[in-house]
Amino acid sequence: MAKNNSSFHLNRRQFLAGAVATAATSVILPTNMSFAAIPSAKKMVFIHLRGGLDNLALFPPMGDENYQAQRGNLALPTYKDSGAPIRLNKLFGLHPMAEAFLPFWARKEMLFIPATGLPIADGTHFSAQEVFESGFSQLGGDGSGWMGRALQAMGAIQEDTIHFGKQVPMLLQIAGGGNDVVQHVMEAPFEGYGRRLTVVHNHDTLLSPALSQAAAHVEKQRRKLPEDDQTYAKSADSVFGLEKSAREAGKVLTRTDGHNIAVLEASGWDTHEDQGSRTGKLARRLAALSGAIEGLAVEMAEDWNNTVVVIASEFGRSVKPNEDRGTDNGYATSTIVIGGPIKGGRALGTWPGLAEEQLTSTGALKSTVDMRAIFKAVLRDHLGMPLQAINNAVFPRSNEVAPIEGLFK
Amino acid sequence: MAQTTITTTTGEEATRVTAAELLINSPDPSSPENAINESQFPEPLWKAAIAATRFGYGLRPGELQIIAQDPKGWLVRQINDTSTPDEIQGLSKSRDHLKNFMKAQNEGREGLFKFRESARQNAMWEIGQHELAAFNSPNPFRERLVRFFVNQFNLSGQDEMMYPMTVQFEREIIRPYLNRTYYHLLLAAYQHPAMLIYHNNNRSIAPTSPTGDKIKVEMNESMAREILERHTMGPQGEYTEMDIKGLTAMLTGWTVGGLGSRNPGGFMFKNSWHDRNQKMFMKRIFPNAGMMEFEAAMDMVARTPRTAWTLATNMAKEFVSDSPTDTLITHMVRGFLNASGNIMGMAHAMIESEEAWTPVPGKVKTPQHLVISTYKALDRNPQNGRDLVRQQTQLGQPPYQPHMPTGWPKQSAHWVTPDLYADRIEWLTQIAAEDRLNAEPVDQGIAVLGPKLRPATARHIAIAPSKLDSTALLLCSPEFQRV
Repeated sequence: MAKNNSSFHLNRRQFLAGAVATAATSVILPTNMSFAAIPSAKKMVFIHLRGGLDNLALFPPMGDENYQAQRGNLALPTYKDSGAPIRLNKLFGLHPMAEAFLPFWARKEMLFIPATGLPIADGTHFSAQEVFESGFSQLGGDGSGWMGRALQAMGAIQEDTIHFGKQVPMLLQIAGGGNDVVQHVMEAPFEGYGRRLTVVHNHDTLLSPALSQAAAHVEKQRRKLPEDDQTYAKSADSVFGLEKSAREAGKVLTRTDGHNIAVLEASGWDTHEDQGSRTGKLARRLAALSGAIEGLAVEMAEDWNNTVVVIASEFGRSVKPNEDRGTDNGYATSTIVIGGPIKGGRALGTWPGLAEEQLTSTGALKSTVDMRAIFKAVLRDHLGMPLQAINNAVFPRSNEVAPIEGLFK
Repeated sequence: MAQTTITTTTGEEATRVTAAELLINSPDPSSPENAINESQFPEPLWKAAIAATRFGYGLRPGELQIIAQDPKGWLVRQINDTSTPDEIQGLSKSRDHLKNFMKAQNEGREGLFKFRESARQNAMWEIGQHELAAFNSPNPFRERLVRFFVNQFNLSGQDEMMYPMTVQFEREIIRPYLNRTYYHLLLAAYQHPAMLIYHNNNRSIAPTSPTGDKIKVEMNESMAREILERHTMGPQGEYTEMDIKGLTAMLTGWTVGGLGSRNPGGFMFKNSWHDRNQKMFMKRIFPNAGMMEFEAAMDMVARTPRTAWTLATNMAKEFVSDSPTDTLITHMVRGFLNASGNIMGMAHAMIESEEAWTPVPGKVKTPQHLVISTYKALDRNPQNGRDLVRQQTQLGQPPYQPHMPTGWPKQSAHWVTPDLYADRIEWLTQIAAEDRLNAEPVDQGIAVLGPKLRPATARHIAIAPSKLDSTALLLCSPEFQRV
């Protein structure tokens, strides 16, 4: 049923795509996913959380005296109370529904940089995602992405780079294009699925209204989003697919014949309304995210000492809840690094604080670490790319942003 | 289209149901109101489908035929099988857990932090083993009864101290006492550290006690209140605040032994904390008799019809219906009393009742039931227990961690709010995309739903434009989502 291109000429790319698909238990990949091969024994999985990760929900700064007051109805209970976060250190807790992260933390294979930001603080997905992906210090690049340029510089063979999903993310584009062929193996139900679901539900007096209300709920949330968010939400992937994708990626990367870089995306983080706190929509998504990493690590167990997973998002959320019990687009968020070589069990970098005067002018968390410092450290210290090459080709005009030290053992 | 063959009890004449037959018999799908035709299928098939889903965790392809040989017998056998599943043997004991906790307390902040971190990780794994036990068990009805009683005592791992102890409580109290009287279960439950600590009863000291004579002390009503309001007579029970006070006084001195005590980490009765006065409870005077006061009180409470009624109502709501009839409850109460207050007498009466087997759509599956039955329907195995835990958590039911003080709610409506239902449909569709069936989805539907699958739904599954669509429609159908 997969809608593969039906060329009779089996080129190298198609052959590899087939091989990847065979390695995976099925060819259904629910999120955008790309694989590349560079001449290195190291492996890397990069996960882009599109929409803006609410780091204050994932890593609640329980030790910040302003946390409860500033977060209001979104704050998690204090440590004394039922439903409290899991204590990570003096300052930070972990959302209890994201407990699947705990073993990584306890084994000291996970660290996070609590307040990381982009060189621009724009607040729209359009701009933030462009800068996040392009790696330039401002808007208006050449359409290429920092990861694409880094892989090219490290000798990735374009023919071996494979993309699954809807489109090649800008993150992986190279100047002048050339790798924009997408394997359309991602399958979704056919048009009319919603109507068929409705008909099958018709006879049920509880579930039939539940279905229509659920559909209305999803539609209403979409409509309430600002215009910029709406455009973005249209291409949203299911966060429930992340674990499946992560595990498939793990299977591909543990094969011996080449692919060692995977880039995944997951959306559903743009929580403007009713995001919940201890329970609720965001809590379930945090469970899905941490669960995906647990699943990935199981698949990559044999290679774990060579593997680094980076989880990053273009921005965080507003510190205070909005009127709809959600959060609006903010600025700094947390970037997470996990893997065998990581010197984990720590939060790295300084905490800007949640007091009113410590926030940005728009009421968001300030950034204390440029995200590029983390990406540079991973490229240099894990994948072995010289810093000069990174500063020239990957993150131009960013000499002042030094790679963050101390990520690795 | 593959032929699904189903053999009935007697075996005189094999009853064959094929997908094709179903479709031929199916009325016009454009009139979705077409009713379920009960008489179309032999009774054992109906009963097998109901036994497996309403009282178990759903069917794998091929199981319907086996259960159809004797659906009721299949359930009764489970009631009498008291063996412990392999998956949960040799797991941690609450006594050791508490001893380690007290040792860690002596080591200060850092020691306590390390203890909590490792205790939680161990419990995460153990909870996975419990889920795996539920998934693999040849006694799914029994497994569901176990979960029902854990929920009946509404402990929640949401409380950090409780997180590892909720499953310890299940292993040490619920499972060993499931085939005994409710009275014995109650007595054992209130002596378990999980219960004593959850309600802070371990620090309940009477002002009129030897210790109370010397220092300022406090009694804690929480456990006594829970006992009457939720575990026994229920909110409609005829008891007063005086009765709660009386029961509270009886429970003073019921605590957990410290490291230096004769039972470290286990139950202890401290006479020096116990109220020396006589107590009033249920209009009776209880002279000071130490531990025996509460035992006598529980004997009274467990015998009142109100307690039996409340327990039967909860059990019927867990398995049979959101609003069970008085006839069913009465029947279950009678079964309980006839069995001298034995818990399984009530469970047995439930499956002997007619109402339990009505072929109308039953309750909506909880996320736990949905996840396990989906894996079974797709003939798929979880990678490990954590796999099942993660899926349930994503759907809003982190196992053993209800976020409401009353335990997981029993009303179907709780699980189908717009927000949760949107995620549920998305999850079911997603998993249909992950695991395409080898068999035709409509055959799989008949195999795992039997007669419950409505002809109109079967037709929609059969004519859907792709296998993904067909599988997703099967899993999202109300027939699959309900028991």
